Amino acid sequence: MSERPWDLSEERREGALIVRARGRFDAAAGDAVDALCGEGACVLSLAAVDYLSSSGVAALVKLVATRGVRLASPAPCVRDVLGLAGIERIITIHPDEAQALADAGA
Amino acid sequence: MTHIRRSLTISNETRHLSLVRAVVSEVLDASTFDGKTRNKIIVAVDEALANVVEHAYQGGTGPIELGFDLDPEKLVVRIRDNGVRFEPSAARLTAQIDIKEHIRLGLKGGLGLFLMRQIMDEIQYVHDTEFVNELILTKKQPPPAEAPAGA
Repeated sequence: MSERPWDLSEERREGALIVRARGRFDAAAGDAVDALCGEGACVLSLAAVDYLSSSGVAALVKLVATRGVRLASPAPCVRDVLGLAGIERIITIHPDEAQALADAGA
Repeated sequence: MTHIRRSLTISNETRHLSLVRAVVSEVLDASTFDGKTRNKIIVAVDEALANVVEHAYQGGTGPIELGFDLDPEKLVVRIRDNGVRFEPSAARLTAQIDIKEHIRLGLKGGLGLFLMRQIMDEIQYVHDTEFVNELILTKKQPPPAEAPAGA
């Protein structure tokens, strides 16, 4: 039985990959998103994340910096932790998937 | 006046983190913290416990004792283990983190402690108890809102 506290679902839209995360977002979830990202644009939706750990914060910043992933739809608990860590000052977080896709040129 | 005490012992496995978050949430239900602050306190406790789970027993297994004490003035959380002694430097306890630089350098640690400091009023590492390590997190409670006149 898997004890993985997170889940990812994928959708292809307009040439871009949308990954929707659910549950706890930590370093392992970040690695899983990294493995899904190919050469094209990738949007990571955080609407259904109910917990963001500090290792998850680091993973998000790394995904943006190294894979060009666009972050979208942060749940309130996600926004709170990103705010505490000062992340919102250094990376763009789009309010919804449509804006993230537009930013990615999709 | 509300005075709540809870304690539990877990093994150093990440699967127990969600159970502890639920216990913290239950204790906080009796507090005067607003919803946003409650969520932040859950983050602080989770970060503290995740550090202990990951590092205290260095690949081995061992127990972790948790205590929650909510009185009308404050919440005190105690996390105790008998693993490897951990004593962060005073500099690490007070350092400001440049998150961008921190991650550029590939540093994994430190951010959790930074978040704990942002959220809690006091963080203490104590070693003179029956445990090798005792981490005490304290957060002062706001006074209860006054009942409306005539209520």
